[in-house]
Amino acid sequence: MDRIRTIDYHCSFDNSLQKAKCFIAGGNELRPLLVALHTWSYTYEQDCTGYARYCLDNNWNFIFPHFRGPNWTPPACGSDAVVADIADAVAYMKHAAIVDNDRVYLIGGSGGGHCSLLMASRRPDLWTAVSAWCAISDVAAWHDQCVERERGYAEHIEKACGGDPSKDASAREEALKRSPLTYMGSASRVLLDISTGIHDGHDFAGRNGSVPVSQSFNAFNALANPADRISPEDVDFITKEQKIPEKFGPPEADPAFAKNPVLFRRQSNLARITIFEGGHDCLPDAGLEWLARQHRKKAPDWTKGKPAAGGKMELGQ
Amino acid sequence: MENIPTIDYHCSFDRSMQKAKCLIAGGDTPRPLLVALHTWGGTYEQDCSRCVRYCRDNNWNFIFPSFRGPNRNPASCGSDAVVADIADAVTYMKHASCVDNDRIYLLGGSGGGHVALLMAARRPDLWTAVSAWCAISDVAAWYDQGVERGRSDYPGHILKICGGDPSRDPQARADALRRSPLTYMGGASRVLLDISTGIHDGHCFNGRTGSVPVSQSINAFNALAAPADRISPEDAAYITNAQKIPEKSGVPETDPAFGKNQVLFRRQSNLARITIFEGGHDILFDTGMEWLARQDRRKAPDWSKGRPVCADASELAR
Repeated sequence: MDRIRTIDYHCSFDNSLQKAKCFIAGGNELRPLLVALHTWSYTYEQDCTGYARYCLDNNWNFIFPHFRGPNWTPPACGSDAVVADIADAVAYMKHAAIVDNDRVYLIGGSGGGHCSLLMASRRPDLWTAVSAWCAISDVAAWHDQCVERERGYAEHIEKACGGDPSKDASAREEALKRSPLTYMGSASRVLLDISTGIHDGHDFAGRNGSVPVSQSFNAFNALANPADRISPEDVDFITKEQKIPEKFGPPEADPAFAKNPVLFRRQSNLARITIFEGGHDCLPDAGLEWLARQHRKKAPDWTKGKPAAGGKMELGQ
Repeated sequence: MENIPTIDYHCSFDRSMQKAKCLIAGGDTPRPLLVALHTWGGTYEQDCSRCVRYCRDNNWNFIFPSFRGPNRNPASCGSDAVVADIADAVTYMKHASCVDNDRIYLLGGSGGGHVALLMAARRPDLWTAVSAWCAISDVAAWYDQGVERGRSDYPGHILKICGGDPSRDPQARADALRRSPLTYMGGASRVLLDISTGIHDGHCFNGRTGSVPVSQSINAFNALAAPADRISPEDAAYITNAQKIPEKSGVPETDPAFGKNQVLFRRQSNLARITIFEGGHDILFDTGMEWLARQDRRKAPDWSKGRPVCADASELAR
């Protein structure tokens, strides 16, 4: 991991320099680029081994940007600055490395999943494929869900939005601007894989999952054909009961999810949703194995994956 | 025929001026752009009045480029010059009019369907959605199909275009590959692509002999569909030869936009859809445009059935 360096790169939003962890692939051939995103309360210094290891092993370019750090200030949390910073991170890598433009990937979980969905919809031109884990798609709804479950994230959102979005109109406006759902249709031209553990949003395995699975379902539904959408009743049932309605039947096993078997999966247009046995978790190798198979000049590859080496990564706060 | 201005525009491929028919929408708000493509033997002077009428009625921008005219020589028929000319036509319109970049559409049938698929695959960045009717997706296979059916016209054109017989001469075969949408089809995976054909195309029907077997459309769809959604080679052969849909496929939902040319088979996968309708080598202009009009780059694809429109089949010209 000592090949991962810290760099400063130029951010066009405010002409500032922002930090990132980065790895430049060796050789002079075109290589894929992975942009990975830290979670809600973190910075570019979060442990990114789960993502970086794959890039080192496969000689991929890698960047792990700061994008304004923890989500409790207005410049952070899906602001225009965040969107510009992540786009600039791609631009930086295209200058610093030999990037295969047909294979530019984005991955993130939790708060990083939030920004993954946001970037898929606000800058669909940048990505071949995006993998979002346990993502927040609606900041205002998540605020209310956090209040209900007495989670501190509600307070972060109030700081980022300048008020309580459930009470204050301008804070609500802010929350909308920072919510992927507001722009979701624009992600219709990006391959988007949305995954979440079924127990997220509940106490599970000694941890308190913070993001209800409905947040992922709503993002998928915004991109799916009417016939492929998951009904509000089914979303409710799955979110509350942590169970898949029997009528759906068992999905095909995906070896990439080995210890966290797939419980429900649906694909429509260029989006897919996967609910797996687990909580507020990301399976980086399953995500990366899928991303690696996508190419802008080829039809999407939705087939099941190879057995993935790595385990799950519990998503940080 | 509706009279609209002829313009000359700059083509970057060889710095030539090429001709097009063109219509500029009124007002100063961004309006959609429709690029329509002439058929195999046509030019920018072909009758494009159905498109013109639609664009006038809806205040759309419209261009109908020449793209090197009839497919009789190497410069035409899906060459690099053709691809560049059509891209330049879009650029021209973006300068000459106020174009809504989220609503840029491409429509063509037969030889125009060939180039519509080719542009979807080679320049997917240009289009919100593409509607290809009775399209040729594989020029070499189409040559063989023409020879097999004893056609005196198209195989001869392909010999001139490719500089030889693509079924025998490797160089001509390579050339036919370069002009074939199938070669690049995966590149169209990020474009909304609606592929339609009459089931009787490729056969004698209504006193006409349709020139493009349905398999040409099915193969383009299969290249973009998820494995489970592809039409098997056996089913493709049955549909193409028997002019019937296998019973197991069931009856598709009626689409009012197809009027009396009812939909016999329809499948959608990823961003592509195939529709096989009761008809021959035909295009339903208003049906195509009605679907295109509902697509917007900032919205999820709209695959729902259409409104009733004038669904008279227009026989595709040579």
